Amino acid sequence: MTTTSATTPREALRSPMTWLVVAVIGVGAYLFVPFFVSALQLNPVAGILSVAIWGGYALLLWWILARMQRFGRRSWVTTAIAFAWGALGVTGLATKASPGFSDVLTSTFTFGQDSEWASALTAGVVEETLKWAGVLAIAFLPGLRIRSTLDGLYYGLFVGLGFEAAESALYSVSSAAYADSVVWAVIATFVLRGVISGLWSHPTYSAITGAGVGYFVSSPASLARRIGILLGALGLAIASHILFDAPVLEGNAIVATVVKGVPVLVLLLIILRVSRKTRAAQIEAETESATGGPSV
Amino acid sequence: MSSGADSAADAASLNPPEPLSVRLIGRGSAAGALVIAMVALAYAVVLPLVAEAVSAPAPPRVIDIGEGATVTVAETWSEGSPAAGETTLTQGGATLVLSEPEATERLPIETLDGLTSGWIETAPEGSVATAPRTFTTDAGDDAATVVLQEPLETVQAWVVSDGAHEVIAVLTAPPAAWEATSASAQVLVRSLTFAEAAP
Repeated sequence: MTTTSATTPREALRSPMTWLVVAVIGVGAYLFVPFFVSALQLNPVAGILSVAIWGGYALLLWWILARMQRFGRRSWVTTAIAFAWGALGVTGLATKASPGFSDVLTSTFTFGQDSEWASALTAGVVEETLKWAGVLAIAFLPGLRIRSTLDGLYYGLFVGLGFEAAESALYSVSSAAYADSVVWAVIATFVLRGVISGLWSHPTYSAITGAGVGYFVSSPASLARRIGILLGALGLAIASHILFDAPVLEGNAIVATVVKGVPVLVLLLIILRVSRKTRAAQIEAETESATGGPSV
Repeated sequence: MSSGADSAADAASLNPPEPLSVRLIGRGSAAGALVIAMVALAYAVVLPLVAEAVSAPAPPRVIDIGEGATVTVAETWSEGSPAAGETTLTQGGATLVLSEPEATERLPIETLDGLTSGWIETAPEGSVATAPRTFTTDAGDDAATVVLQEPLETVQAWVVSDGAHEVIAVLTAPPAAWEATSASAQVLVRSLTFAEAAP
């Protein structure tokens, strides 16, 4: 199976969605890169080490996820667009949106010493919605890029992976700024964000929203049901993200991330299983329809 | 009876509606682009404008933080919702909470040590704290500050004491916002003035 239909470059260039995706990634890069460059200038060793570690992490996961694909290979171009949307589009727009959302929140409600709740709500709502928009944009790009729930889940994973790698690289440099050992600070951030919470972090949340987008565009169900799943999956990802960042169950970072994260990972695995079964049945039906009999 | 309706139903079940992904083939997706553009604009443009309007900065002003103690606040800081015993100020995603003056006999550095130990115990793995730094406020009171870098955010605390009372200020900010707000918060804390002791 391929998830792209024949699309000429001319058709792609005529689509407003193509230009919108380019604009969002470009503006995101314009907003995010200066942050990273200034952090890099402050601490070049930490910056280079962070880029090496998180770049390697992203490439390794990219390779593993690409090899785990079932029902055919997905387009690497679309995968790269998903990754870039997360790494540059979401991180960049979030530099404007997160402070704004946080200011509105703290001006409207009283958080006082519980300001970590404001940070958790801000990160959950802003980042998940922007990642969700990325998978939705890919679905509307010319070329039939998402035609199953599984496709949406796959591209959602890559939007989240791009965001995770870029944001974590910035955090690594920031944490190294005050540490006695730059190398240890970068490695500690990597262990916490990449290893301990890596399985149930940004890629997991956006894979859930991606599955919702995949269902929305590929299911023949009623519009109300598809919108319900689309927004329900987004709500689920936002709630999971808020819970993960919320100042509850704090104390032991490892216990906290496992207790908060494992249910989200289990949820994603259930969605993955259902999506695979649905896709297998869909392929079976397509084969029957094409051959006039049951597939062997 | 109703054989026509039955065959229509059969036809419908044999030919379920085409998914949106198929219906989009060969179309420009202008509606989809509009939805995504609205989300992006709402977050990158509208939200910051709303935040600016909601937390409209006022000219530099003197705020009473309780017990007659005051701080001079730059126009870039906005006052958050009031809460008992504390004053909340916000700026660009960062939050600065100032406590009411409380009676104390401790030095700022001693209070700060206690705060830092408590933080380190509950902070996530990989968090680091700087060594405390002492300074004197514009009014000549003793003060100290420490920065705690957590994986997800940066926290900076100040303790200011006039020898009989102390005020604790805590700045919480995401890494991207910390650099800009920390310096401004430092100026704000330096401006802290305790009430004149009664003769």
